[in-house]
Formats: sequence, structure tokens, C-alpha cells
Amino acid sequence: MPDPIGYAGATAYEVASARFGGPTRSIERDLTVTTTPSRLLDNNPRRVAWLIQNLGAVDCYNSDRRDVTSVTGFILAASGGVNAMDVLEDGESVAYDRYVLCASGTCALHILEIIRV
Amino acid sequence: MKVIFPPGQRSNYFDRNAVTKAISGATSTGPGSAPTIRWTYTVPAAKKYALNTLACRNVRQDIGTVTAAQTFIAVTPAGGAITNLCTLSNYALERGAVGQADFSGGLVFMTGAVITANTSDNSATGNTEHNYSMTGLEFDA
Repeated sequence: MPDPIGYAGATAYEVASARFGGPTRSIERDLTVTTTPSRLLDNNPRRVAWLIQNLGAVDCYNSDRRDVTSVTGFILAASGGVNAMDVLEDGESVAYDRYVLCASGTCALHILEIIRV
Repeated sequence: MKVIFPPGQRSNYFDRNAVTKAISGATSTGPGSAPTIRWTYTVPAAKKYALNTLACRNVRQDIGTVTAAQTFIAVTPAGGAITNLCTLSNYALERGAVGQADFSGGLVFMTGAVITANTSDNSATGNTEHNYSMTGLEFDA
């Protein structure tokens, strides 16, 4: 494989390049959600994986549907629950917008996105 | 997509909305008193009960005749048979004779268990004063 930016020998770079066609970087951020759906992830065709962890005490629900509810989303369980997508498992849906809301009050989430550089 | 739940995390029983339940009572029985329930505690739905102490005591107030004055605390578990937890049989007949039976431990009773305090006096004469008490912790099951 060509090595345009001189990372040859860096194992993580080589694996990421083989897997995703080039280097990747991570973006970590926090989000406080409410009982009204809000955007969890923007549409980004360069995203190859994401992971969300629920740091709060109430369950959250997420979906690529803008009108996600507690009965139409995937549960993101309170106190450490994780949802994740990877392009190799889930295809291009990993790049779609994603929406989230929590069951009551507010809830803190921590988000990791892996972006193809 | 992966949906991963956190490992089960459960707080100690004494931190699960625990409420102390202390029940006591006293009564005086006459001669020939049949077994009588004096108080009843039922472990509520979605709760358990950790029993800490039981105490049964009785005192002959008059000279007795023939046989025992009993004070006892029993449990009937949901779906089970009644079992005595603490039994006092006072066979002394003289006035002022004291009987005492105590229990302390860590029994846990499930939802629906019924604990009762009971007295009886088979003596042909005289009265007997009974005391019966229980302490424990009721908590989320």
C-alpha cells in the first residue's frame, strides 16, 4: 500500500489504512440530552465508527429517526450503557444523522467518533 | 450496531430504601387462655425483611396451677408451614416467676411471610403478663 504521509511501520496506521483506506482520527465530546429529541451525531460520510456511553442515571433512546421516542429507539441504558456502530458491521448507516432523547430530566452522554482523515 | 448494558450493580440491602420495623406489645392473660395472635407483620410485596431480634417474656402475676404460660413468635412463609422462631414456656407457678426467651440473628424473610406474636396460658388459675417484641429491617427485594 502506498505511504503518502510517511507512517510506514506504525502498526495502528497500517491497520486503519487496511481497514478504512487511510488514517483515522478520533473526536470525543460530551452532550447533555433532554426529553426532547436532539441531534446526537451529524451526518458525516467520513465517519467510520462511533460509540456513545450513558453517564447519567436515566435511560436514553437513539435512532436515525428525527422523531425518536422511548418506544421507537435503541435503548442506551443508564449508568454506563453503550451503543456503537462500525462501518464494517453496519455499512453506511454509521454516517447518518442520529437523534437521542432521555426518559426523564436530563442526561449526560459521552461520545466517541472515529473519522477517516 | 452494538447495544451493551452495564453490568448489574446493586446496592447493599441496607441501602435499598430500608426502614426499621420494630413491633412490640404487652397483654395480660387469664387462666385457660387459648393461643391468641397479638400482632401480625406481613412482608409487603417487592420487599424483604431482615430480622434482627426477637424477645418473649412473661411474668406470673398470681400463683399458677398445673402448667405453662407460653409466649411465642412464629413465621408462616409464603407457601410454607408455620414455624416458631422464639418460644417461651414458663412452667414456674409461683407469683412473680419470670420467663425470658430472646433471639438475635440475621434471618431474611421473603415477600408474603407472616410473622405473628402469640400468647397462651394453660394454667387453671391466676393471670400472666406477656411481652413480645421484634426488630428488623424492611428493604427493597
